Amino acid sequence: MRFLGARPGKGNDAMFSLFDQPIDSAELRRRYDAPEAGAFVVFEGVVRNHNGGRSVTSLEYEAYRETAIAEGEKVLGEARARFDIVDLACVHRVGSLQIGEVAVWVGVAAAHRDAAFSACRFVIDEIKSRVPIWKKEYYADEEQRWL
Amino acid sequence: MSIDGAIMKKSAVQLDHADPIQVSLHYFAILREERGLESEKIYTLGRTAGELYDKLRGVHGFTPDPSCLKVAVNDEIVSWERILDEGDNIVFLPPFSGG
Repeated sequence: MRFLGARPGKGNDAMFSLFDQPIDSAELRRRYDAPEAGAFVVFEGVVRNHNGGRSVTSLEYEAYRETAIAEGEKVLGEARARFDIVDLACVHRVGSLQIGEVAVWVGVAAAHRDAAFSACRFVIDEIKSRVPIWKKEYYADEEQRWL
Repeated sequence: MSIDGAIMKKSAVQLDHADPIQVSLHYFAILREERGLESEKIYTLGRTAGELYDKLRGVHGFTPDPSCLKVAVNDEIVSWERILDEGDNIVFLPPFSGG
């Protein structure tokens, strides 16, 4: 997988990445699991075929790259400090996506499930709120709209 | 001259862009589409980030109202009252919709 910006790694390496190719969830799962983790929680944000009563055919994501990576890493750093976890990562797509593709992947390894679930929820909520990434929807009636 | 007097005088000079300054603009999402460019360098008489956006909106007809945008200067999100300097990199940020 070719990452844009910081390359995700283990431990305290850069953990938030933008990616312009399909996300390989299984590979990410293998990369971020740890023998000391009794729990691994994954959130996959997937492109669905409808929004607001309209039929969606595809999506496009665009990012203010340097600031998105910096803010994304800040979110993950906050999660590390706030929750008792072993490792975590987030990969967000940019470019065009089809229905069913993973747009964002968040993975958290922890000794116990409480922290893994809580950290994962925190990360996706904060990423959606704070990271400068924008989504454009394309509809079946050939209209398109930036959300 | 007292220290306060010196600071006040410096601020008064900074607030007055008698000459245009050159800034770099970067556009994303709907602003990029409406401007038709990813980035550009312009000269502006706008003193603040807010004044600059108002001027650009008047020229290019940007849809977003400033009340729903944020503005970043040199990679830092700032207030619309931020005084602009020569060489600043400015990005107007529509509401984020990632995730």
